[in-house]
Amino acid sequence: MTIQQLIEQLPLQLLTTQLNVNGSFHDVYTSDLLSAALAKVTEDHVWVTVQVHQNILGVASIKQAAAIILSENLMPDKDLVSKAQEKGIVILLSPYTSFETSGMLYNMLKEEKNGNK
Amino acid sequence: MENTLSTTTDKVFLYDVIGAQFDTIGSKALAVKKMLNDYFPKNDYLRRLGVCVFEAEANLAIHTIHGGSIEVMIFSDRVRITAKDDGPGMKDMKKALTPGFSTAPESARQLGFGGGVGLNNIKRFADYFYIESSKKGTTLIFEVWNDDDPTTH
Amino acid sequence: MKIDKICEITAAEIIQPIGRKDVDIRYAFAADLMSDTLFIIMRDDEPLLLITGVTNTSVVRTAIILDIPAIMIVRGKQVPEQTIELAKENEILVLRSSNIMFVTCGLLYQAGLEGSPWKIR
Ligand SMILES: Nc1ncnc2c1ncn2[C@@H]1O[C@H](COP(=O)(O)OP(=O)(O)OP(=O)(O)O)[C@@H](O)[C@H]1O
Ligand SMILES: [Mg+2]
Repeated sequence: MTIQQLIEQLPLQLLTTQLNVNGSFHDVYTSDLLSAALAKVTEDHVWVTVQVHQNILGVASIKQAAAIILSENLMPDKDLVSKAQEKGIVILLSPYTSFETSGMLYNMLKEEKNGNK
Repeated sequence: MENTLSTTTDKVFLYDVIGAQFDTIGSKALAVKKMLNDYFPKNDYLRRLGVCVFEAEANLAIHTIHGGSIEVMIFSDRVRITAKDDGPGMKDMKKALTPGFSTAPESARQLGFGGGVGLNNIKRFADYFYIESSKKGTTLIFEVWNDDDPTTH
Repeated sequence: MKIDKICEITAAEIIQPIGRKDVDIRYAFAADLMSDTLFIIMRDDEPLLLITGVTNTSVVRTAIILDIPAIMIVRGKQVPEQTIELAKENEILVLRSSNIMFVTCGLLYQAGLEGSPWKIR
């Protein structure tokens, strides 16, 4: 699934408006612990979190995450968004909690898998 | 809020919070919640208060040198909490109140602290909020009102 | 949803069984940050399941403050003895699944647990 499709289907708000959203992902990792995300997120992942600390950019760029979804409409400060844009990290805003965001994504990925069979 | 800080009461309780001790965070908040159950037996009210005290306690345990104290004053229609410590204070109050800003050490983050929203939680759930900070220390005062009480408004 | 059903769906075990075993869970909330969890205040008293990857005693204290009857630990993490003890004393159920948080949320969401009725920031 592409990030574009993800944005349209959930729907999500794209904060890093200057970045393109053609990239794709096949899995999701939900965690607010940077160490856990650092260990598990890959370039195939979208990372769901409520962490808006600057350090999330470090983790996402090292692991080349396809995108970060911030739950609960947790608007990060402008500084974080512009740094993300510089580093090429797509940041999306979800109006749902991490539980709901994850639940919806789980269903979407499942449907996609079934559709592809 | 004319008389917010002028009412007197003899129901005052004091709790000490040890500095740099993360594994007991929340224990004072629980003690406060249990104690207040005798005065305000209302789940919703106690949850709001409990959350605020938890955040204040966590900050004393994580961000101070020597820990600090939590004073609980009980009035007929409200509870006032004063959390005090003797340093090092906040370098930048505006930043400290910005969601996501945190100076919590990695050891605290591993335990689920350092999201940088604690003070915002207090602001959100409290009916009165005051904070001052210098190198000599930080004083946080907040009140949670028992809204059901018709004399409150 | 009953605790046993939740365990069945997420392939979880009950590692601290003393508490409200027959509680009917309606909501779920997933977080590793205590302050984020504390942000969720339930206006009604409908039972909620807290899903988390954090295992220290503060998780239990957070649950008690919010009147949360059950905690689900994800990623099969080892839970410290003190955490279990504190949960037992306060009758907070502790479940553990070897699934990651994403999958645990996905399975429970699909099975009908609702997101907590939080208020927008
Ligand atoms: N008593 C204090 N003394 C000195 N600095 C403080 C104190 N309380 C808070 N701060 C500063 O304000 C920042 C923000 O505090 P806040 O409680 O909002 O978030 P946090 O404690 O960092 O993370 P969280 O509360 O989400 O776990 C802290 O990171 C710290 O720098
Ligand atoms: Mg704090």
